[in-house]
Amino acid sequence: MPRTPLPPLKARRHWLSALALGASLVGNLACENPPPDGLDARALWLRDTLIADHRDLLARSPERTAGKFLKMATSPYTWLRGTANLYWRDVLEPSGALRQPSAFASAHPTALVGDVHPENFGTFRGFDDEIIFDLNDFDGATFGPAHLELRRLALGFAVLAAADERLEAVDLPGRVAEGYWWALHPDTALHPDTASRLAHAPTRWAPGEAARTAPKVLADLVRRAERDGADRKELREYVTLAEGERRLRLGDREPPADVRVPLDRLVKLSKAERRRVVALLWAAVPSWSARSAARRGSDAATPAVLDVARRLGAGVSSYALDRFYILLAGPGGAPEDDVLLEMKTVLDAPQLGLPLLAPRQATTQGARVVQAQRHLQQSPDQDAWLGHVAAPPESFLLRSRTWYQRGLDVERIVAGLADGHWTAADVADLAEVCGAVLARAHARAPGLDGEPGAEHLRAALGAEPDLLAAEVRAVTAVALAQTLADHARFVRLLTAYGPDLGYGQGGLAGPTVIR
Amino acid sequence: MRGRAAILGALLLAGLDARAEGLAAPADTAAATAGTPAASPVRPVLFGQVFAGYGAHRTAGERTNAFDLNRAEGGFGFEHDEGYAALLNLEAIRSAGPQSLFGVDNDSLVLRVKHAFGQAAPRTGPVFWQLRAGLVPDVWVESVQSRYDLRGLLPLLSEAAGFFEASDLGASAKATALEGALEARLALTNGEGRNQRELNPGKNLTAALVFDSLRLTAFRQSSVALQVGWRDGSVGPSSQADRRWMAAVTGRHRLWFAGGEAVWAQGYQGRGEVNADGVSLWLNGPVWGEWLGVALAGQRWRPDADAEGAKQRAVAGVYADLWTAPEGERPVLGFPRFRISIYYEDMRADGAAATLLGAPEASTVQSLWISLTAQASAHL
Repeated sequence: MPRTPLPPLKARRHWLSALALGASLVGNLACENPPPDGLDARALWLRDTLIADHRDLLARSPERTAGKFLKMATSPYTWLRGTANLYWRDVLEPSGALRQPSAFASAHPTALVGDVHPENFGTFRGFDDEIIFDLNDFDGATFGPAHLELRRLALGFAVLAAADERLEAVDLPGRVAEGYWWALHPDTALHPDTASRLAHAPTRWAPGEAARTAPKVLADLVRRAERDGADRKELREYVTLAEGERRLRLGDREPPADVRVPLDRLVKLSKAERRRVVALLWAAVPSWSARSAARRGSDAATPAVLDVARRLGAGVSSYALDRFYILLAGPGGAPEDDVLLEMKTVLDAPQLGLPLLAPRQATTQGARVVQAQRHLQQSPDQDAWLGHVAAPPESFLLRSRTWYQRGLDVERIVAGLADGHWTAADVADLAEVCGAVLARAHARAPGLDGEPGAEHLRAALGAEPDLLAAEVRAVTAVALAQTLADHARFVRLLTAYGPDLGYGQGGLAGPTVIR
Repeated sequence: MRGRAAILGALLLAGLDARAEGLAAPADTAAATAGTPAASPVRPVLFGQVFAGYGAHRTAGERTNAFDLNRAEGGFGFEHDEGYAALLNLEAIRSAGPQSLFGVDNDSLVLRVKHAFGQAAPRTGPVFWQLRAGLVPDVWVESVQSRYDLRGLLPLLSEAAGFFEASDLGASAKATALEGALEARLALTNGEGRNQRELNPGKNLTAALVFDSLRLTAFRQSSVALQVGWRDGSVGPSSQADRRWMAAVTGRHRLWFAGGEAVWAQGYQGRGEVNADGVSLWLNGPVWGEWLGVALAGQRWRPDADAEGAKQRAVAGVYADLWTAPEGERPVLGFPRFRISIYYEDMRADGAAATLLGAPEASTVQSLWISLTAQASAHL
């Protein structure tokens, strides 16, 4: 049957049709995607912000970045560890969830650790073989308001307290604040009843001394550092003898509960990767402190490298970054002289968005971290192998992996409470000492203006430690509720979008080059 | 003055036609200029802008000073007498973000594409069209800025407060009627801005309507324009709301410019649940001859309209136009200008918008600037 040709539309109808089609198209395009059930605006902001902060890693190392997200979801504490950037946004951006005024704010651009929490404290071996309890992670080091970093440390202890109901009996955030205040006022007469006497306590111990004078949790940490450091446990754990040669032990040292989230794994490098890491190591040698040359035992410009491997599973914030273990031959050439080093990528510090005017004091990420560590720690050379090297656009940090350097472990603290090894009061003592260590770091290190923070902080903190503690206690309660809720949101996000938060879907992970 | 302008122009645009004229002129203007003798209907075009200066800054007891490059743009393209054009505009930016060390060879200046689009300018009856596709200027910023003379000192509120990105991937259309008195603009873009790829399936739809009295007044050296606009859009992987309502009133009389802009936002800086708003005012013009002028401008915006507190910026200064720009519009891609300015800038925030709650001195930055604004465009 022949079709009857349709009459041509009038021009006006053409226009109307085109407009209708256009409106329909635009209506479809401009609509927002309805979020999955149970996800509120905060959850969506968390998702977008985490993707934005990890976009480079999601593109380069999607599996490792997904592993990081899964690790962050493990507990509220691991969530806290992985979200320093979110914390700073929440406390500083105008719409931030944790924007709360402070009676103790100082505008001084104080040197900050950037990512402070209880597990970023640990031990170091000093020049005279004493063990020093100090901050140990400066990847996020920057400059800004010190009281907000104090609050984050208090929040870290609050999240720890939320993990064990036995800790509900003690005021960990308040003790952190008290320790912080008293450490900045060492000449102030202490009330005999105050619990803050620990803020005056030493954080360096001669061999064997800590067991008598340190708070219990610290005494345990120092004891293990002395024992395992002297025993060279890092070599026992990570080094093996293969065909008569000393090599790094590949594979899992700790079996992962989730195959997607390795916890402690060494992976073989290709020859090209190995050559690159060795070249980077040699390029980093000039950044080592000359004062520590004797402790290193050698001034060789090209240290003898026995083996190199990729390390997977370490950290939370830096979980997805490139990290290598390097086995060096010691000066004597004997197996017990070998040295284990770590080289890892360093990214930007949290962006605080403050109007900081002074010029930047470092030109690479690694230089920033090394400078911060030397300024913020009690001694500038607590790690004799601390160094950095730039391979633009990347930058690497180099440090020792001796087991003299042991970090606080939240799981161990909780386990110690469970088996009656420690009491809540012991953990409160630890919180106070950590507050004191942070205060001394803020006070000691030059701020962005070159001035140490001490006088600025004393002027800002006022004369009443109780007032500071009360404020920190109050804001930490709010922040804790937010952190726990955010962790729950994050778990729902992973359920809804998958371990990469949906980055690999919808074209988000498209090509990075223009074709 | 004119002679000096010609000399400076020759120095700046050595080898270029001194009869430089603004880009993106209405199609009827382009048609009028097409009458000049030309061997080919296709004309290469060059354009560029440099905003450079030296500033002394103070905040919270800190002081510093530095030379700064606020803008360095350069572009080229081809225009056809019939209104077709293809333009590419590059801009220099710092390779690392603010406070970041993650850049190219430290924090080197690098070039990136700011605009890259093809353009057609058909005419249907009394309506002149300008159709663009590619990395196109934001229609609202372009519309208001074409009637704003202080871009070298202060970006529009729309840009400065982050309500709009200057350009984005997509397409735009402009329809002009009544000899330029009525103008409608429409754009469909990704919504993420020029520094990001599309992150969600939603597109931004922006519409702007302009009534300009330019061609309707008997006193042709003056004009008042009323502009209103609306944008529906989304941003980020989760399609956070990113809507805008905006209005502006701009006036000019020869080389005097005055105006105000207001923006309301539902969704701000990647937070779909946040409402924000802002308002700005400006005034500038010559007070001695055509070359010595004064400028005043103020902006105030609330990053969270549901909370007390706002950010604000005030600028006051004088400028010398060593090469006086022509009267008329100020196209975003450049126009002939050589201006030296000395101005004071005060930025502050209060209430919930303060930089640091509890330390008001951290929320104030005062600057004294000496700046150079050089802009040019020319057909070869």
